[in-house]
Amino acid sequence: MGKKFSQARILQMLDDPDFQLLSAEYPDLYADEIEAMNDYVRSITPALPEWVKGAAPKSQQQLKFVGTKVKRIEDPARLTGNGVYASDVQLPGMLYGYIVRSPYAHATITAIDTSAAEALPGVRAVLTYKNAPQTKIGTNPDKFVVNQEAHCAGDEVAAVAAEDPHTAREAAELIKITWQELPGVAADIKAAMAAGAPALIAPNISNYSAGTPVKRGDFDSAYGSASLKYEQTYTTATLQHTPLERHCTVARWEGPDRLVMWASSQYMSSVRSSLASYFGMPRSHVRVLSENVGGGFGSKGGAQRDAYIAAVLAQMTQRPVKVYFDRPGNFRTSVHRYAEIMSLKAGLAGGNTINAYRLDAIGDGGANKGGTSSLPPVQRVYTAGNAFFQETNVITNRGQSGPMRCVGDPQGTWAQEIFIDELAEKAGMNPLDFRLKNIAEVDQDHENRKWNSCGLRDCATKVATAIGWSSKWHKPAGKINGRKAHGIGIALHACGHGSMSLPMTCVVRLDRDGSLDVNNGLTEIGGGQSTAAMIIAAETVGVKLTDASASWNDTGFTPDAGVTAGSRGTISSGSAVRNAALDLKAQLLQIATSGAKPMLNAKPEDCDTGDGYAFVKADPSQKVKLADVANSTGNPVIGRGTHVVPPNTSMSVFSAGATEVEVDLDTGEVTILSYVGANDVGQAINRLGVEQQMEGGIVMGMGMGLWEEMKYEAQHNFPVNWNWENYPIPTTLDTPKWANFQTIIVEPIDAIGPYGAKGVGEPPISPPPPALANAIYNAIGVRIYDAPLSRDKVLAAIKKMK
Amino acid sequence: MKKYEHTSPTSVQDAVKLLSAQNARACAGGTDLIGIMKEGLLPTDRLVDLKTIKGLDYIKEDGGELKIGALTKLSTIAASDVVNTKAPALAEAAARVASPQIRNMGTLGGNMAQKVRCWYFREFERADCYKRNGNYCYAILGLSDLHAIFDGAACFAVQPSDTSTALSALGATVVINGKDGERNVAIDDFYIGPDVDYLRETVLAQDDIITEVRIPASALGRPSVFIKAAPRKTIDFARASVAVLIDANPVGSIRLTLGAVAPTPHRAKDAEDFLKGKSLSADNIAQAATLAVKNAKPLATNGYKVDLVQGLVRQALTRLAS
Repeated sequence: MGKKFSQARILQMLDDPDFQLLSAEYPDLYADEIEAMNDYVRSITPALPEWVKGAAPKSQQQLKFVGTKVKRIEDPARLTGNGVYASDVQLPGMLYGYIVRSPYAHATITAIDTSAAEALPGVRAVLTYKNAPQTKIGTNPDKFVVNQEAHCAGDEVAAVAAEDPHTAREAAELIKITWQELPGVAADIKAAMAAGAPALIAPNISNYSAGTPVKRGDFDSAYGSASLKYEQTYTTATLQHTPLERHCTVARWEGPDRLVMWASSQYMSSVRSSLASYFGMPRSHVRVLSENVGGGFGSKGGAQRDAYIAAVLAQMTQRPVKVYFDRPGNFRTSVHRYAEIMSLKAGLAGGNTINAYRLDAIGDGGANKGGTSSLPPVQRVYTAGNAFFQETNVITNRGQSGPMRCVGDPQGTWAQEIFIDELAEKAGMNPLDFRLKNIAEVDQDHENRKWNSCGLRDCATKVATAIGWSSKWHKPAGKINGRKAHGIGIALHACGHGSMSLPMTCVVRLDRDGSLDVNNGLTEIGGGQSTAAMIIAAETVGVKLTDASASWNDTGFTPDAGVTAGSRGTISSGSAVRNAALDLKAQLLQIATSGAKPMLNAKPEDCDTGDGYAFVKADPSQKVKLADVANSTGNPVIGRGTHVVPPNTSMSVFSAGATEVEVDLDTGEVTILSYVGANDVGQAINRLGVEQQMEGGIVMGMGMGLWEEMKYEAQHNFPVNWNWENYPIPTTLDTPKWANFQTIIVEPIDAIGPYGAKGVGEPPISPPPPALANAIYNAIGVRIYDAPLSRDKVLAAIKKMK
Repeated sequence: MKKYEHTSPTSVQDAVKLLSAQNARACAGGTDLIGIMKEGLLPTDRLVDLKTIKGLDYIKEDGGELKIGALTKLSTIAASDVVNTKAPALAEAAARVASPQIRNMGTLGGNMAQKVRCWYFREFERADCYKRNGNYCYAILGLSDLHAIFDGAACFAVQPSDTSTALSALGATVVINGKDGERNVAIDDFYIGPDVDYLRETVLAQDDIITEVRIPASALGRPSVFIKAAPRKTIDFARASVAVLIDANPVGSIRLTLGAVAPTPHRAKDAEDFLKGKSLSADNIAQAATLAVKNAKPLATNGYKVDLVQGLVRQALTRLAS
């Protein structure tokens, strides 16, 4: 904590999209870096005049659009098939790429023969490590666009461009490769840590490294003197995002040093800068469009291999090239949620108070040594004066690990919330009461300072009330009717995301007709980010919502606003939108009140805007259309803004979930009867969008809880289920009936976010898995510690019933 | 997908002729075949589209039997009053196949003749397994969650067809047209195990077409039931299923078939024999469930199917008892 950085390093971090991406996804690991960047940008950002800030609504009741339900502006195009996704793009003369992937977890190519592929009619280029540009692409381990050595099954080793996708695939199958298999680890994470394990990446890189522990008080002595001790180990599986639109890029060279790309990406500006750097071109010579993105969930953070390979093949052939992963390809090289082994230990004092608390976690960083971070919920949800939390990151050959609707917090919450349920039972308390007694509402790792806003207790009590906890909770296996067992469970969560993040910028412009456009560089990925930006801008500038819009995602005319990840879109970029809108409003009021014949005879600070007018506060009949104000300048009026997080901020997002299940004691089938989720979002910007994010996250969490798991087999270090058939994600029929599926928005207005908002994209996914585990325990009286709660485990648990 | 010739016969005879060419494949709804062609698992030079043959989609009672044309869509069977009334197990099985879109395309004949879903065969590109004309079964030492607990021999892939389980319990007859004309095959003989031929799952030759399925008079209007267990409530292939036909309670005659647990629909004959002459009491049901898995030989990760089958048998018999 408290690391210092040189100005040069800070500027470098601010300029590096890869670092932007990393710190947005792992805000806890890079808290010092984020603080340094914010401090620096704050020091050089001119302050808005105080009177402009004062002109903002004083209370939530004065808000016109923020907090209402607004249909998303992109929906009509998407729902009618008129929205253009990268995978829809068809260009004249376009070729199709297909990628050859390693069938081994760890292997190297000893011979490769592409002659048959090249001879196939319709084939225009074959790319292998032999003719690939010798420029590394900044992965870990640092690799070329295609490689001779594969570190996981599915690693890209060659690619073909052909006139049609079938020919491309046929040619890919004609490439003859002789492989030499190398020692690898894919089935057992701990095997990579064993003495004598082979070096999986390079001889000089250890297979594992322990993270810096978080310590409080003296765990050992508090644990030693505890009145009640308990420890247990929990595991979660490797999960896949499986976005509907698989990874896709279309690349077209419009001259030797002009590249245009249609990319299915969560961070178009990063695709731009990565490709510019790769080809040694100025960023302005690369234009990336991500108009519509068919889901990312963390898997499309920056420039992925589809982008590089499409651009290289397009350069080789001088034709536009589309690279669209097939579903197995998407499963193989997209990053995944890493598997985790978590051992928790607690000592209670006075019978029911957590006094000593310890987590030892092992995270599967995969072949790319992706970051692992399951600590935040364990640090934040419950009070523990004596604590020790540590995570060890392990390299394996199990694909690429990375963010997935959060990074590691759902894993941490899986372990913690089952553990807490067990502790409650040992303490002889109702699981809800035990939680409420032990929850923390301060930032324990920063001198117990208060959170900016904390709706944790509200989330917990509201879901409990809504589901009818006090009347429905019963003793384990206490409500069995024939062969059906009823169970109810609850889980709480705190997320490292949705709070503090990097400085961001935005441009908002009022056109001469009085319409407002947000040039927001944040990629809209289906979460409603554009609509939220539009709402914030319209509220702030004072135009009608129907006169506002948010521009489509195109690096050609939007500034870099960071990655759409880490639940940061609305809070970070939204704050920049708000500041840009305030800047615009200040300019409009200045213009309206100055000049030889001012349109309003008042000082700017005595005026305000609303409904498309500027007016004098004391006499609202003195008003002028904002369109006339803009027109008087002969140009659109442009506001720009920067978002900076204030120093010494403790910000966190909280959520809770409660669920009822029915377990069929004959077949082990689990039916989710009801689910209630609550999220502390600070302040909803678009209430409809918040509900949708919560519903989506909760359903994804149900998948993590009940079905989803990449199955690696030891025999061949290989996953066997890389398509949807055997990697089941929830369908509508697997979710509770609509009447029994409830979302509750908790709004403890936050001082920092725009209009008090915090993030919501990720936190809803975490409570469902452990809430389901606890509900199944409540139904049958037998614990399951390993996610998912699949049929085989439930049947085995039923056999253990007394 | 590689290039192939698409043909559109208008009669069964034409189709059979067209199918005699090298690597010619019969295609009805295509919901299984097209996928397997894309994966390159079935070399195809010619596709014979059966959908252009008129008159093979019908459900009719004729001579005491229920006759269903092989091109009848699964959604039609699931919704049919006569099937729901006279042979409910088949209607339930058809309704539980995959998703509405697939049931609207998929046909009865196609569902019966689909290829196995073993994840090594389908997805493990290095697999030189029996079904890929190799000489190894990866499921034996690997992950066998999907695989057989009965009758595995060399290959442990299971018969995935839901309708096959129901048709086995109903004692159906399969009408096949081939180069030597028409022949009838009892459902018990239609499916073959890896001990007979591990490269195919049925007696169908490349130029054979299922044209009709007949459910005998002895089964019509009798109590029957089909229950499927799968990870999710829709779409998924069965991890285990059960279909039962009885004449009455107490039981005089019974056919009890387990699905997705063996290379063919698996008749639980010990359980059938035990129940003959007995009432479907809770005790008898429990004993029958135990007998249904008497010969089970689970692999490393499919032991749960032993419990699952027992639960399904209990559920099915309990439903018939009430």
